[in-house]
Amino acid sequence: MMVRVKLLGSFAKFGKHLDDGMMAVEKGIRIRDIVEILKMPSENIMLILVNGVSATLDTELSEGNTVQIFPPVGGG
Amino acid sequence: MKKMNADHISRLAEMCTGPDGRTYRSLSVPATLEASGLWEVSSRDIEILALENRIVPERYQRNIGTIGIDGQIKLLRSRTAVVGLGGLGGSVFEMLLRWGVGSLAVLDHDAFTDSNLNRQVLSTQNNLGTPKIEAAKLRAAEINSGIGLSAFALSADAENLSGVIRGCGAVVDALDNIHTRFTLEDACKKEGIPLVHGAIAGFMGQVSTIYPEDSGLEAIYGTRDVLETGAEKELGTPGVTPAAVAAWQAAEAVKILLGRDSTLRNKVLLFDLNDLLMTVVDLS
Repeated sequence: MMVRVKLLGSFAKFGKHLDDGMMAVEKGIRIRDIVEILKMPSENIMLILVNGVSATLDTELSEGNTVQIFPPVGGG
Repeated sequence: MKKMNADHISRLAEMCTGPDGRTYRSLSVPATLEASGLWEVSSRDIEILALENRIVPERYQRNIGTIGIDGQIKLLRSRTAVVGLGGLGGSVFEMLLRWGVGSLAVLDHDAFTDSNLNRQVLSTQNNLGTPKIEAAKLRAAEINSGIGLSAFALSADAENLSGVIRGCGAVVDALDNIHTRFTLEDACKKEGIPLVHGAIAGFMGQVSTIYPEDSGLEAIYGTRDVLETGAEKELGTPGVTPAAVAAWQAAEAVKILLGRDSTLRNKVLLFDLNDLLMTVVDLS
């Protein structure tokens, strides 16, 4: 199935190779698996959204989902 | 010494026509400052007296359409703390000064450095190396001298924050690291004061309003044992981002002070100026 993965801020580099963020993945894949495939630092993720709703690393994805992954934002 | 009353104020007022074509009684800034000197009362108190008599201090005329005369009185009688006077804090401070929040408490232990100039509105080429709170005092004096300002040259910690924020109707998070934000949140919860969280990294910004009984920062950052490395260390902080967050924070603070419930409570606004992202996420 296809999902779109949008990586924000300093995470953008992990998704540069994707075509408009589109990824072909197995049904029932979890966000944790996507993070591993993209070689992202799972311990430094602030917030995950699936279709605009707060999610976790263990959230399972469905066809056509849009995932947004945010690094910690701490500046001022 | 006689006290200033409605008659005195009325004599200082002039009839004006607003942008909407309606006439109203207006009190000019020069008349206010002159009366403040003559009567030995703060311009803020003169402005409150004017508003109570339905005379609009001209400096707040453009506020009235959104918050009303009663809202402006409420703001002038309110106190807000701005914790940090850097990229976020400097801009929030400027906005609240101009909006007419009558009493402000500001905290920052730093002096300005060269790299502040890209975004910190209180920094100038001429005040590098000087304490940020001194710039805040000077700015307050030249923008809105009637506002009561308490300036604390302190590094925010668990011991000093309660004293700084006590008595405030809202607190604005203008800190530059995640760890101290949790400390500030603790103090706000202890003192029972709503906190307007804000943070920036690169083109990304976020804002949320946290009342004492809310889950707060943990719902945003995911954990208290925190994420030391914010993305801002890699992305930096261009001036547009704190300016955008500061505007949202100042608006949130004013809505809290006015008792409006259309805030970002139990939500987080996330935006990215580069990626055209602007979303409000429900955290409840």
